[in-house]
Amino acid sequence: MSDMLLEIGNLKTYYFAHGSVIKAVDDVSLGIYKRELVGLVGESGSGKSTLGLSVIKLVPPPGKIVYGKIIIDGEDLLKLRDKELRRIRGKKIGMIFQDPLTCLDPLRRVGDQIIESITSHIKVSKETAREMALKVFERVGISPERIDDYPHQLSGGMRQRAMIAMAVVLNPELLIADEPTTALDVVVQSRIMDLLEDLKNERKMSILLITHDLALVIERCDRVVIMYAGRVCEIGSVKEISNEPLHPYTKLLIESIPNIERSQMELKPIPGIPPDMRNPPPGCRFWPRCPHALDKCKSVEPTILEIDNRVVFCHLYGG
Amino acid sequence: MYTFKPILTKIIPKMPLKTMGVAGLLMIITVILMAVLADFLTPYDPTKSVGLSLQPPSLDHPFGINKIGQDMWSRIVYGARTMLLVVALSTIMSIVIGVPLGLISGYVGGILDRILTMIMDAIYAFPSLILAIAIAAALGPGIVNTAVSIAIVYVPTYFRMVRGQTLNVKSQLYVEAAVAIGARPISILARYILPNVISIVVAVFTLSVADVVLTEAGLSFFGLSVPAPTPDWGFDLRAGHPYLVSGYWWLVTFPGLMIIILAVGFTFLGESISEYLGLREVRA
Amino acid sequence: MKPIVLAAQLKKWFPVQKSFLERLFAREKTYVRAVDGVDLVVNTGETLALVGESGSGKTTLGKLILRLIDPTSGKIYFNGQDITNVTGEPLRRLRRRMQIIYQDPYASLNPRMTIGDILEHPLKIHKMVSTKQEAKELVLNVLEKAGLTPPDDFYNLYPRNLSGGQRQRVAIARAIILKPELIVADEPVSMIDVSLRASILNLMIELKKELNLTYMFITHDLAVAKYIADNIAVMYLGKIVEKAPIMELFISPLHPYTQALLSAIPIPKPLRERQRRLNISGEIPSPINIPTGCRFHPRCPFSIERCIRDEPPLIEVGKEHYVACWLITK
Repeated sequence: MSDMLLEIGNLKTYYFAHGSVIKAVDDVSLGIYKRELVGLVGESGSGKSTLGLSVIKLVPPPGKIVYGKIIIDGEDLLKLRDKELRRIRGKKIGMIFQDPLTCLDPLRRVGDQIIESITSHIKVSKETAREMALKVFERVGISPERIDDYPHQLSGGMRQRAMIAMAVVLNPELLIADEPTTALDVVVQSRIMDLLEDLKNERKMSILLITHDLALVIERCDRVVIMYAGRVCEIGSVKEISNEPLHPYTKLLIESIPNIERSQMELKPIPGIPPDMRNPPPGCRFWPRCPHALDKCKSVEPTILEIDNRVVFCHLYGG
Repeated sequence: MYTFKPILTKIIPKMPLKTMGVAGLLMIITVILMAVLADFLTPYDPTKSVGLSLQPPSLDHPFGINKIGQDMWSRIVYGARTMLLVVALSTIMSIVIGVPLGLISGYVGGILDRILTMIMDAIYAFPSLILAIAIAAALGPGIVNTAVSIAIVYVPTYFRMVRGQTLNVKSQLYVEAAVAIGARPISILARYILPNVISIVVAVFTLSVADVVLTEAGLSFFGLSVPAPTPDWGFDLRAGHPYLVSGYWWLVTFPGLMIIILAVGFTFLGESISEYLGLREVRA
Repeated sequence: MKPIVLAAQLKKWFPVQKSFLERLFAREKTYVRAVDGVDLVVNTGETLALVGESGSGKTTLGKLILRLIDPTSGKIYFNGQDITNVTGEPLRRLRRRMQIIYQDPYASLNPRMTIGDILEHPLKIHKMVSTKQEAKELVLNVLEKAGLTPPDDFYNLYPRNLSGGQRQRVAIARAIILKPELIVADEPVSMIDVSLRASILNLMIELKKELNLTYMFITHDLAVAKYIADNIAVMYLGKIVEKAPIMELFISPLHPYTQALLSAIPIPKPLRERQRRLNISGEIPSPINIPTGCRFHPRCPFSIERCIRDEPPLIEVGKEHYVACWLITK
């Protein structure tokens, strides 16, 4: 029995606007196993958010998934019709965002919204749904009497928890979290991450954590996927990636983030700027900023290389 | 006056913006050319009788002749001048009064702002045509007076939009940054606020000018715009409509059509420009 | 070391907007007590990090010192001069000596002015140049200093032609072109891509040395503070709860809030290999309803009875190490 929960194969999601094409996700393959916390790390333009939205087919126009497959429990999500997708969204795959107000309607009570989400997926009475909602509220740390509040009556951290409640109430197998704590204070962030970890363990759920915060990912996740300019750079366990990063981008990224446990060394910035996604550089997209760029890198896209259970896309390691 | 647009958008819902804009521009340019080249487009004086009364369109008189013997085609092309003059004058006046007041009111705030807003809201509350009629009746006929009546009706529109945008821009970080470097209020208004407010003025203009056209036509329909022999489409509408029943269609059709073409032209252009500028909320 | 900024019992209370009915029935006005009694000394030539979560009042404090906001009460001194109530022309002239770098590079530059215009405007205001040529030279010079090379390329561009990182460099250029003595940097790298932050921080460090600046560096990111600051002041709900030289704070944080903050920072090292962290409950209360006594007491795992009654003063307990906590200062 396979341990693989979600398999993304050669996914391509492009944005078509004003006559140009932004290849936000350009041939990305990765797998998420059951009960693991995977961190998807990238900066602006890396395509990480688009990837998350692609999994549940919520890419906003003018974006479009143009190629690939996304397989969960044997079904290719990209081949399903809208009606079947709606069954999966919420029940098998849940999603939370940076801004809770993207999924919480400010004009309706939070309890009503969760109840509606429940009843639209499973056949239960309203009373039962309300019971479920109260239970999940308690589980995420919101006192049950707040169930009839409106979103604006909740604090930032509580809104986040309400959104998490709505996303996990039906026990999805996969939770996609897109920058869930970026707008929150460090202390609240820590507690939300604790909550997510606990939920993962209790409910046998996998979490795809999409963020730019590499430190957070290394601290909390099991595995890391590093993306740059629409492509994957490397994938590995957090121990491997933090101790022995292979891809030059990963290495530079680690060295450029301030780390309070290291002594006062000078931070080394990554030279250059992220590419214009309408016209990315040919070959390996990182080559203009890579200190080890070979001639090959400027014209040939690196293909996948597996080294000891890890995956890296870089000519320095052969291929 | 905004019953026009919903009907239009229902009839032509899928018309792409560019086409709409270009179509609108063509319509407007046609009218402008008529006005500018009027002397070359017709040999007849529109105020004088040049033929037998109530003649249908013919080779000599392509738009026919009206009750008092005037050539309709001439009255149309010279009428374009009247219409465009009034529209231009009143718009300039509305802008010259409404924009600075909106800027100052929005930037300075306080009691001045409250008083001005109250006055403007009061004027704005009146239906445009009725208010224009009231003012025009008080001022009397004439191009300038007509322009003034219409201008007053539309000052609040410019005022509100400019004030709203000023409030919006005032809270932007780059305005605080200007304060932080030590800029004086006049400098801030002129270099930081005004340039970021101008686009809204353009938007208001493009969306309300169709309304101005219809208001002028309305005023002249009630005989409150320009005095008798001056060619004016609205006036001709009024003069010709008693005869419609008897089958003299050309007295009403052509002026009516011109009013529609000009108003629709401005609407098309206005919609496509404001969509292009990304302003969905502007309503006159 | 001479103090460049001195704040004494500085307060800023914002009145809360109420509806008509609320005003009718309310017995007293309510305020957002953003800054609620701050005593602070910033010494010339230092980089002071002002650290706290959102709602702590750090940004308000920074703007108060720059007199972009008027204080509700208290005093502010700049280089010995009382600037608490200065307004009008003297305030505008004062601005030459103290500048700000904002957090949002997309919002802090006028979209309708070219980079050249944006940078020349301060020069014109303070009559620092007499010819257009002189102005342009100074602008090109400062663009170069800010790392925007070749400067000529940027002179005629508009902010929308630049990336976020480049815009922030323009903001830095604008802050230094008047050769100020003090710069308040409000989260200058929070909205910049992670891989570019280091270069902006390094630039700021370099400029400080070159131009003899003093920085007030506002941030919620303790790791960034550690990298750039000499001293650090931790704020909570409008007051400073701890202030110390940077290494001292990280080695021996005294205030429970500081300890919780430090233990909550993500460190790129798998959590299982680290020690358990100090978890505090609840969230920052609203600055409208400030708790009695020590404002941290509802969340503090160590609070004693005195904490509920009396507000602890900020007292020096070590070399330049100040803390406001009854557990430490009996």
